[in-house]
Amino acid sequence: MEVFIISTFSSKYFGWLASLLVVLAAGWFLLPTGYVTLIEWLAPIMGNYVRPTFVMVNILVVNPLGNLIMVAIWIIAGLVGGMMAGTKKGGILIAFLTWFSCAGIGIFCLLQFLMPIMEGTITMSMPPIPPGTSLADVLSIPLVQSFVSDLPGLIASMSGGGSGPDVVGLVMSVAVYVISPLIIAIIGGIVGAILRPKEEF
Amino acid sequence: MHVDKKYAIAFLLFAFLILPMAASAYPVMAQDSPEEMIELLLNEGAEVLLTNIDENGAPAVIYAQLGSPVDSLNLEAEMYDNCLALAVIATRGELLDYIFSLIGTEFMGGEEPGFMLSQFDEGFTPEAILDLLGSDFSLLVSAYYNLDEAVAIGKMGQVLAHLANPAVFGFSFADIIHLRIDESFFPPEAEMELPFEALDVFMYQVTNPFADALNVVLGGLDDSGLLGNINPSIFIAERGAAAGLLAIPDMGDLVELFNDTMGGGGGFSLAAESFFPSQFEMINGSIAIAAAGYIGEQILTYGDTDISIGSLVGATGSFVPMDTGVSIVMGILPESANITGVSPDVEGLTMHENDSNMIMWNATGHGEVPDYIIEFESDDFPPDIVIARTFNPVSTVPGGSVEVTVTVKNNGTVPIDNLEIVDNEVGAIYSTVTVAGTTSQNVTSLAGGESTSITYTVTFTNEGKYTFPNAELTYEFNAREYNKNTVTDGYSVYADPAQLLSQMILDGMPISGAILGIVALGALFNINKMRKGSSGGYQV
Repeated sequence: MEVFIISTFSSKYFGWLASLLVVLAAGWFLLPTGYVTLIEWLAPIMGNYVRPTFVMVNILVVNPLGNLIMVAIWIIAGLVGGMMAGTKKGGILIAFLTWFSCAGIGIFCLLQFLMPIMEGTITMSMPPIPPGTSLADVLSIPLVQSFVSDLPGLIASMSGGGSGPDVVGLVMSVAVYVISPLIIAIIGGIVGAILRPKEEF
Repeated sequence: MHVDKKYAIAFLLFAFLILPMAASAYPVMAQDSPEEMIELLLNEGAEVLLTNIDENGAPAVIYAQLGSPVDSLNLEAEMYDNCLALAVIATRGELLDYIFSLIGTEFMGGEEPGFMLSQFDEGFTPEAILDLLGSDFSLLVSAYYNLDEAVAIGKMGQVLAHLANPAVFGFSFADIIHLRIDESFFPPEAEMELPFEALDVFMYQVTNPFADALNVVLGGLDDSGLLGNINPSIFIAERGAAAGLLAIPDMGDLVELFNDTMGGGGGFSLAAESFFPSQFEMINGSIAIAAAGYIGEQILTYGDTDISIGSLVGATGSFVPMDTGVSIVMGILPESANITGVSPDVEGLTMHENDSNMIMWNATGHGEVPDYIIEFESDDFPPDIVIARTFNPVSTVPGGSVEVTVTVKNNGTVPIDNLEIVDNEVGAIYSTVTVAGTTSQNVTSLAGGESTSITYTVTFTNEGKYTFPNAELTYEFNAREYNKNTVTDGYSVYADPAQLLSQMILDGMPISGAILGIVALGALFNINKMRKGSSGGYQV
């Protein structure tokens, strides 16, 4: 029987592509309802980069305790990468590559999303909420739920009661949420490599 | 905004404003003070069936129960201790918008909008909140005060379980948010002084489909009276509908907290505000209101001479009042209508308010009645005019176009004159669309059985769901001007992943091209290595 062989480098390379595909496809198709509502509302005015930007935000900014779907997706992506690489180092490398690839795509989408606004080529007047949808859906977005608890303090400080918004706290929260997918993917990659180590011929 | 107090009074009747009028038709209550009347109704319960016909002959119907829902909600239970309020609402279409537009904002407190916050230029009004929420949502909102967080969560869980019990209501819920506000949430330097120690606000999505949610609300109510003759399916079939519950386990606590919050210890009192808010201070103990309603299309046309309240609620039998409590039926016709008769018409039990064309029946006094009927003159309403908007295709992708057709048809036998059809707002809302064709048209006359239409094309560059505001028709009939409109439509332009990918590559050139080239070369290189089986690979 003919045996199909993949080189070590090939396994990392295609592991990266497979892992990236898993994350992007799942992020696209499993976008929470709240994001979809926002996209349906804002995209007509703000352009076609609203959706990919929100998809990438949903992929990259993950509260590990509040967004179990994205946690699962990053674990699967890490496992796929780790299993195809067959080594722990390979799994970690694929996790990094996948995360950086997503970050690059996300930054690109964000720039494309913001450019027309900064150039003033689109007006920022908000259209009505489309029939059949409700902004209450936005509260179901895990990321929004994660930040709501910070809201009272932010409002209080911005209204003159304090020295200013707790920017450091907010940045730290965002940083933790951004780093979380990378850590999850790395763990997934290592586990994947353990589950299916490279076979020597 | 035009404010018509007759509508305001009518729509707020489930918030007790009907009581002074009820007193005039309910001998037992006539001698009581408003406070005693409120207490009587709270203790005994009340139900109101309100029907309003606008000048186009289109109905709006609201059924509300006061007091009786307390039994189903079990508001005396410990799980409601320290609960300020609990509200469940499910809405679809334009009913709430319609109600707020009729009530207006001035009614809430004289010349200034009653609940306006000064920092909102347009006013923090119920209508504005509704605009922000959208037209279709199903939510439960509840607030507990001065409880440990775990205790508040526990009590909220018990309430959810109670509401989810199919033997009581049968709602189903999904978490949206829990927000706890206490001094620890604010930076110490803010020196925030709250009128409470802690406030736990819970919000859940009601996951029942709208029809189920409506049936659940109505199913939890006392159906020994008017409700027993109401067919819930009629609410679902119409262009806009809503149903909801509002429960306040201890009105005294809520008023006290509100006064403290608004007054900051400065002696603010709701009683010093306009009539509506002042009524709350009269109430002690728990109250609950449940209501369902709809707005429909034109049902009264030229030639009709009466309207049956039963037909508006799909009644198949007689109306009987509640076993306990007060039952009231109300019918309102437009001021342009000339009411010629009312049935049943019994002195002291039927009230006709001439200025506002409002009929009120004391259904408790009337007892079992086959139907409630209002008679009017045959030319009080215009012929059956239908305005409809269609989209072809029903959806598209960015770069695509839709052909929009607005058709006006005179289904009557007499002509209408000086028609003006306007549907030009989508281009004003969205600067990114291109509109071509006829978006408004004047027609001198439209005979019975004839129709006229306008057609225009909208081209979309972006994905999203586009709001097409009401297409409006103005016409004259019998020297009177009428306005009709379509519903607000949403048109979906779906994202095309392949198209979007192409756009991203093009927009990212030359960097995106270089990256793609490298990825492709890498793939080719590795496929070639796989084919050769080199570099010590492993089996897959």
